[in-house]
Amino acid sequence: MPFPRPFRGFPWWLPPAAAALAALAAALIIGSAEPLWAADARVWIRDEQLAVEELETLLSEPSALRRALERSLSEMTPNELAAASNVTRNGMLLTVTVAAPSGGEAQDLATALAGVAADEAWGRSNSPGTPAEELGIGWPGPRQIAPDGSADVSLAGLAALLGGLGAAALLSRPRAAPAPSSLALLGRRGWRPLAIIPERERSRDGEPPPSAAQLADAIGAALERGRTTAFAPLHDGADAALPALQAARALAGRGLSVLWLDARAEHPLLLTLPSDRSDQRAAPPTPVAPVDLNAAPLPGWLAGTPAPPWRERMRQLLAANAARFEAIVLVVGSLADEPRSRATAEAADRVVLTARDDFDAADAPSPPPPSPVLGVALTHAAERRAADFQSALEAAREEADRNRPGE
Amino acid sequence: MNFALPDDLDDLQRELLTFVAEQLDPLTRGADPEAPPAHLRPEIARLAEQAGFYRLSLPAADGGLGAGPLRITAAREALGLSGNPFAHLVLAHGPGIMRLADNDAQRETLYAPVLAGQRSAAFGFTEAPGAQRTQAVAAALPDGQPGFLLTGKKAFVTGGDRADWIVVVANVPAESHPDAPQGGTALLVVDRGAPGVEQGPVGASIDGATHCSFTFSQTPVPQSRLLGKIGDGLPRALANIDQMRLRVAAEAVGMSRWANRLTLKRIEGPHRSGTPLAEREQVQAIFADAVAETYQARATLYRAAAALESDAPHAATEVAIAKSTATETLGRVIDRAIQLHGAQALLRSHPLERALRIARSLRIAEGPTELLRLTIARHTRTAGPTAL
Repeated sequence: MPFPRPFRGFPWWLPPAAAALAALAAALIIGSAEPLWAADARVWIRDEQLAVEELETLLSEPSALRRALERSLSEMTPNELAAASNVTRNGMLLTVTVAAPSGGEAQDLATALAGVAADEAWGRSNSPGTPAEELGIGWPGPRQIAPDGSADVSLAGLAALLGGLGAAALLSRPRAAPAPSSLALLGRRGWRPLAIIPERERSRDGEPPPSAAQLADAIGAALERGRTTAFAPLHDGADAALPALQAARALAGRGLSVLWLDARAEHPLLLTLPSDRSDQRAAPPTPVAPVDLNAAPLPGWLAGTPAPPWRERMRQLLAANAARFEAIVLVVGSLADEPRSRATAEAADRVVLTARDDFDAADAPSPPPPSPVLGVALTHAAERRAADFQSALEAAREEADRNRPGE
Repeated sequence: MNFALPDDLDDLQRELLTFVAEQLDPLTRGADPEAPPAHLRPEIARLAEQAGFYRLSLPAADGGLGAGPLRITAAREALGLSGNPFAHLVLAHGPGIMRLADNDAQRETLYAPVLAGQRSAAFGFTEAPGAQRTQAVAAALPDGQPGFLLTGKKAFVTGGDRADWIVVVANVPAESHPDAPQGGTALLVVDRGAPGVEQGPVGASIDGATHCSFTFSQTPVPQSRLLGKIGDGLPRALANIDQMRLRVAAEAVGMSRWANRLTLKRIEGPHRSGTPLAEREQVQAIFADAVAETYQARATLYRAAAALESDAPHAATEVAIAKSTATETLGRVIDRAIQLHGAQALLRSHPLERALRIARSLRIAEGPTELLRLTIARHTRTAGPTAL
């Protein structure tokens, strides 16, 4: 039967587990502790002429303590016996209580001390009768006074139970939602990781690095729905240019004609990348020409008329090159606070966001990108994480997917 | 010097033995001593009263015959000698601890009912192991009367399961009662059915007595139920110890003599060998030891009784000697008797089997032999070897 709603999530196992552990610990401690026993002996002073209070006082004097120790053959010192013994007086009755490590020793010492009192009474009395007598009735017998095993274990268990209840209450109390991880944030927005790019990624023999291949896979699959892909940093410090260039090179390496355009500058640099696989190792990207988007010639822009908005100019530029290239890769600035970057991205068919693998989710921009987001390229990944790109990527995707709305 | 029992005591013993043989034995035949029928006790008391024995040990001030230690000892020895397990009921139990009742109200409400056998009291002395010491704190009770609130636990309350009252030895803390600023021990008569009184399970000891524990939780006890004064109740309760020890010694000597008579009958009777056991020297030696030791114990018993009767200074020590001697002798005598009776004496239904259990308990009751030896040794060391 499920718990009522207010108790759901309450870690019920914790209090009894804590109690059992504490009781076990207490039992172990008690088991290793030195035991202490107490025992009583009684002396009845029958001679009413005797001063019972003097006999009571006598039992704390070293000479009496020594006599008791000699009788009982104990290894205690008189001072130790004085500390371990207590004498109470009720009328003509003296009760001697002694504590010792064993019940037998406690009883021996109590009996011996009571015997000293009785001897003293006989010695002091002027009565020809029986001035004092040790009593054997009414003794509770030796009893263990420490450690009080059952009581201590019970107390420890109870304390732990209360502690466990408190801990359980703390654990189950409503708490402020923790700051989401970067991947959780991506998942919430429906963005999947596309690639993981190590901080120091190396290519082998001029081949595109594994992360570039991951990006090229994602972009290549999306090219049917449009040729233009914009790379934009998700937060300050994220690098979009290098991933974009690597992706463009990877696409070119697959035989596609690729235009790479850094749109962050006033005069964007257009590069064409050789599509011949054989040239990939030797041939560097070829600059087309710096493009002055503020000047003619652009289709539909009549010289001498005011320049159309950036977005329009970019759209025209892309349209002019769309027929010539199978894939166009753009690099734009931050989408959060740069209108020109947003305008450029808006002209693209899709956006690939770049983010440092360790980025603080709090730094993520709140406004959504103007174009559909294909996914996120995680840069600056730790070496260990990037050691196995595929598994790391799948793990990152799974984590992001778990946090997707509605899942 | 005449060591024979005076004629009056001799007569008393003979009359008691005749009474038991003629009236008690027929009445109690077949009754289980461990679970006597309810009618038996009052019927025995009635018959004993008619015969003039019942109030023998009661104080004259209470309508008793006021017999002294010697006469009471002779009576108890004779009752033990009779061998009837109910013979001790011939003499009234006496007020017991209620003799400490020292004002008219207590004598009327506590002492008299116990004396008349209408009510009974058990003594709650032994503190329960592991429990806090029983305490009585002065307080105004719910009815506005002054009194005590009793808290604690007493163990080994003999006869507590059948008693109407429990006389509880409780500690009154210092400064808790205006009559005793220094505190002390109080004897409080507590109704078994009082609020906060809880009886523990009943256990039986080998002598047939029953014992139980009692727990007291804020039990109200009126001031009128305080026996004596705070601080002097317990010593006063113990002041009767010599009489109690003499009683045990007398019963033990009587039982020893009964066992010897029973054994003599056994060894003189027919035996499967064709020759009575008494013809064998080894049997004679065993029996002679039993008779001789019983003789010694009996001589000691009456010397101690005489000392107590005359209030001799050494009486307490002499009683200690008599008690330890009589009970230790009884143990050996019963043991020998069983040995000479053979396996039949081991049967539950055999009187020697019960005698063995009683003999064992009497060595502890009213002062174990070992503690009595301490008193005897101290007396001798103090007064010199010629003292006794």
